[in-house]
Amino acid sequence: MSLIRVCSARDYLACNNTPVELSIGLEVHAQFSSSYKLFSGRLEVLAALDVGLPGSLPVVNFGDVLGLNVLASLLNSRVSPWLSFTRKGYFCADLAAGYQITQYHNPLLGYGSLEVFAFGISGVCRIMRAHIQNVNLEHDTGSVNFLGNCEVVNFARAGLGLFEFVSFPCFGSVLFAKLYLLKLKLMLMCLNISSCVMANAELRYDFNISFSEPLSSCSAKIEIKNLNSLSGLSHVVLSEACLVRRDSKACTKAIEPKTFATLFLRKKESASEYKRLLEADIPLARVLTKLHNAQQRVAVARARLCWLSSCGRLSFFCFQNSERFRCQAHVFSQFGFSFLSLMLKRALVV
Amino acid sequence: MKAINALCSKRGTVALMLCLALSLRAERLDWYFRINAGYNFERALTRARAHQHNRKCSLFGFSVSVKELLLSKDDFAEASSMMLSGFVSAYDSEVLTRIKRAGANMLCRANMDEFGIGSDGSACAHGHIVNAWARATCSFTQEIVAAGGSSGGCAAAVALRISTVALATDTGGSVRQPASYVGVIGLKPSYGRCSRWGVLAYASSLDQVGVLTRSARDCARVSAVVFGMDLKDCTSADLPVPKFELYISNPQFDLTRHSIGALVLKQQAPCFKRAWTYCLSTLAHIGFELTDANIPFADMVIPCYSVLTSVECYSNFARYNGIRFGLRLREVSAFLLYKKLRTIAYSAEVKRKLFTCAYVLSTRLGYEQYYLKAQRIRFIIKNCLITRLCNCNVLASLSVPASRLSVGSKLQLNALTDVYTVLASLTGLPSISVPTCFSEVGLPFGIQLIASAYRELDLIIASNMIARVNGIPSLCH
Repeated sequence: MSLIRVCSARDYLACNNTPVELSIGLEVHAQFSSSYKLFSGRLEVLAALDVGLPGSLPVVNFGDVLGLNVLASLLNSRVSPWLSFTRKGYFCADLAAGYQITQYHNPLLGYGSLEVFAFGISGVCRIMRAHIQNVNLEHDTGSVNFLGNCEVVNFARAGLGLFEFVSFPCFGSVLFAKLYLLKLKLMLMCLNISSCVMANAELRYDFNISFSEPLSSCSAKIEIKNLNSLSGLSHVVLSEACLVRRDSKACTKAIEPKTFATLFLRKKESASEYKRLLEADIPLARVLTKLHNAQQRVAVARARLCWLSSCGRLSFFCFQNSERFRCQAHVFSQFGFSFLSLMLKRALVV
Repeated sequence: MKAINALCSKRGTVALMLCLALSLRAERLDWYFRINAGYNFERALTRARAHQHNRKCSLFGFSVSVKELLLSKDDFAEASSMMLSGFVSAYDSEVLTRIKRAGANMLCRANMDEFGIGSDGSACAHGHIVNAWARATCSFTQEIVAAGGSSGGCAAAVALRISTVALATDTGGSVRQPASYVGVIGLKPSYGRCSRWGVLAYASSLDQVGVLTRSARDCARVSAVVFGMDLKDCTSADLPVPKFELYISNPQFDLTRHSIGALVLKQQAPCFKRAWTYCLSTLAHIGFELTDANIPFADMVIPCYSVLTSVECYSNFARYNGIRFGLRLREVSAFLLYKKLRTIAYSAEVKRKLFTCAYVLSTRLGYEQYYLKAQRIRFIIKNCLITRLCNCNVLASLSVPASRLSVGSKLQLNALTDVYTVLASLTGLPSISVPTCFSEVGLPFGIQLIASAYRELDLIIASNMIARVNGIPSLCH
């Protein structure tokens, strides 16, 4: 691992004197702020469903359609008219019931996109469009803690509602993945959908990464689970880029939170290893997305404006990856007038 | 029951005495018929003593036997399985809460097939449930005539007059089949009529709590208590529950002018034709207008049912991993623990279900070819049955293809006893099994009536009319 350079057209990572192309796909989980869990009672109460006791049934507590509408309009997506859930069955110690209730057949938001802008010191503005496959609702699992040499499952956060943003593997560089994460985080915070405190794992992400030398096929993808820091992303990508071989198998890894060292967890499941079936305990329901009165429409417009203005306030981010690479990045909405304001502010800073 | 009720409300101690007598009877008969899964008669007596003064309750003096799948607080909920042995439930199921609030007394936990899977009462952890009508035959020929399943214990307890009513669950005919074998009334309400909160799930989209009674009047009374919307269960329907008893006692609500569609499936055994003709003549005698309602997809019903149940069963059983509740083995590694526990603790019937699902969902192709197809077929069946029900009030068919179910013989496949009852389960329509006559081997059998969704009233009225003409077979032991 010698250095990273950002080229003009495509991004390459220089690794052992060969250029390596990345493709990263992100799966962002954002806990939404509510006083209720997604399928069971209040936040403070550990319900029978959260610990997977037999005989318990889920009841959907999901009512904020207004925020959802704004989110959909900002992601250029639309809210699905039907709300249905799917069981995803896999074995994990922190999954009490043996399956997770999530969405598969009928995701909450369909395809959407989010534009991300980056500014280099040279003054070149680069625009990248992040393609979001779908946005799903699901419930959180417990967390595994270590007490001495004993593994303990903590069910305190089991059952909390999560938004899952699944993106296509469209990120060519670490920078854009980070910018996308930041923009998404900002959006969720402004819309009061989630408080996104990454230290509390309220916003965390899994990412899939595969490496390829130019004009050759990709290596098998590596999935890395449950990161909750942005700096972790570049650490992990760099270390994995050095480790990967062309014939290495697809696998799932976890990271140690302090050192960002990756641990081999298991080999990657294929799609059919998740036993998916329709959740029969929750009947199919209509989502009333149409805004019937003018008041609601005004509310949506105001929320949009609020997002745009706050984005003006929080416009500049600087981060430093290495000595040679320095970039000022900007996260803002896809509208022209904020682009202008950005240009003005950039002139002030540089 | 009316007489007893009147007596009970006159003198408080009668209810207590009755409870004591019934528990003694249950203990006496249990050694042969294997009805109970667990004794808690002392507790039942204390509860009866506590409740002996609130006589205004609608179910005062009723003793109820409850299938083990329904959870009851601080009580074992083992589902007749080794997997859950020692598991004590922390909460009551909604249905039991309602029954207790109405003043009924829970007498015993009835034996059943493991997790409600199986249709002959042979997969129980507490022994085979014997059909109370075939006791004499059993002792002669050394073969066990079973009370059917999976709610065999409940049905036998009601038939032997240990309890007035029984609460059971129905997935593919678990209430109606044993009801037919032992000659009692078994009602499976529409999907969404009863709350499923606190019922150990087998196949979530088919499970429903059912009622087993000896008379239509008791059935009406218990149904009025048990049915209704529950906020803890999303699938329960927010519909008013009619006062069934009122409609039964008044002959002006009788169904005489309405028609019954006679449902004939292709697989019907020829030896049972005579019985079927007799049933139809009974219905005609009561005054129903009979029409023919054939269904073209009869051979698709069972495969569709077995795919759907196995898939849902697999996902519902994922939580029984032997770590957090139930039996826990001491093993060195987690993998050995899972492997050994599943080998030991599940019966063959359950394993077959799990294997079926593992096969169906193992590949993308299997998922589309079996699971999604089964869902589509279910939709078609539902639409077809609903259109049939537009022309007539109630559909009638046999409950079981043969009145004698012996455990030892391997002549008939298990799934084939489900042929008639599965139809109502897949579509979620209410259905009832009413004892109509006796077969050639001297065992009672019933006909199954299916009504349109949430019209349990029609069923209860019809069963009352049939029982008024035919009488309910009663058993001496």
